[in-house]
Amino acid sequence: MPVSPNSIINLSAASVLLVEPTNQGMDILSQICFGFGVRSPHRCFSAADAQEFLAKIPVDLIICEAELQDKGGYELIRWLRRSELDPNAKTSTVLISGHTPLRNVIHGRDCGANAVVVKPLTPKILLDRIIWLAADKRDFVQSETYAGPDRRWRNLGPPPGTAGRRRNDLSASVGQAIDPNLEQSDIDAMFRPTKVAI
Amino acid sequence: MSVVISKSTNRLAKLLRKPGGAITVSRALNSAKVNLDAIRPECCRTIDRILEDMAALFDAGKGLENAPTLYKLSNQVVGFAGSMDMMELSQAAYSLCETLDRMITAERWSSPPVQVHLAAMSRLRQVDGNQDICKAIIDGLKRVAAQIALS
Repeated sequence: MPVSPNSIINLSAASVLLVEPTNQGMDILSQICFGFGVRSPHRCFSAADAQEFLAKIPVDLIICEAELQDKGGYELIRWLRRSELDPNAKTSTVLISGHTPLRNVIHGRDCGANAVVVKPLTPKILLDRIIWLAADKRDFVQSETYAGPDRRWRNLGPPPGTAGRRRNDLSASVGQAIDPNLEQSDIDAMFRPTKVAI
Repeated sequence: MSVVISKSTNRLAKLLRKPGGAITVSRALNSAKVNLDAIRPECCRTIDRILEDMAALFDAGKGLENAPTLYKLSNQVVGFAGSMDMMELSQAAYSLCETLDRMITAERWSSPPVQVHLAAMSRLRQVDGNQDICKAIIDGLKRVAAQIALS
């Protein structure tokens, strides 16, 4: 959904963690965040530093480069989601990726990031993503193979031929009506004719 | 382990709406752009230094051995150049990453396409802002990348 230029945002009180291995990349991220009103973003240049930081300080937003020196940003986010650190384990996370080799595409999907942004990174792209994250209402899922925001964007019901495993899964077969049928006048009202000029 | 689904509090949503210190989206974007412009000269110097390093790595003639480092440096150029509005240079660097990734995966080195990309990236830095030349260089690189994909 496009964001109006007149919309109001307030990141002045947000605790933002930037994880980026290069000085230049960190400068770029920091300057963009300062522009957005973030007072003093926390900076970590490696996954190890970030892990140490996240174990101590609560963070509201993490912006993390995918390619770090010690371990990938993917692994860092996967660790965070399983860390049970409260509240950081569920913190909104943006993973920033440059060229992504095919072997890393699946990592990006499964690491548990809320959003993956492909470079080149511009202020508009990043702000759109942050605002989108603020509106994100997905549940947090923990299973043997995945921890992070629900990867399902639409509920299409259980797979065909199965009953579904969730309490709110609906059956594919239609049962008996539980409400009285609509009156013809009610149906007519839905198709109210209007005059048109030809 | 069973699947546990829980609601999480979106702290970002609460902060974004907090009164005091709020700014409009357009002001935030303008401020970020002004801040980026301020570090542009330094960023251009970094890009030039990376391009020199890449040329030196290529000239060392170690082929596939240096490919992962070349890939890493080219990936940095994708991000730095793109954030500084040098979109053609960012595209060329991305194309080189694509080329190198194929070579690394196939464990097969070929110097000409890498050389063409490095020359193109260096030329794009020299003609920064000249849209016609930039477009011609990018079109040429796309043809080179297509040739590699077919071979």
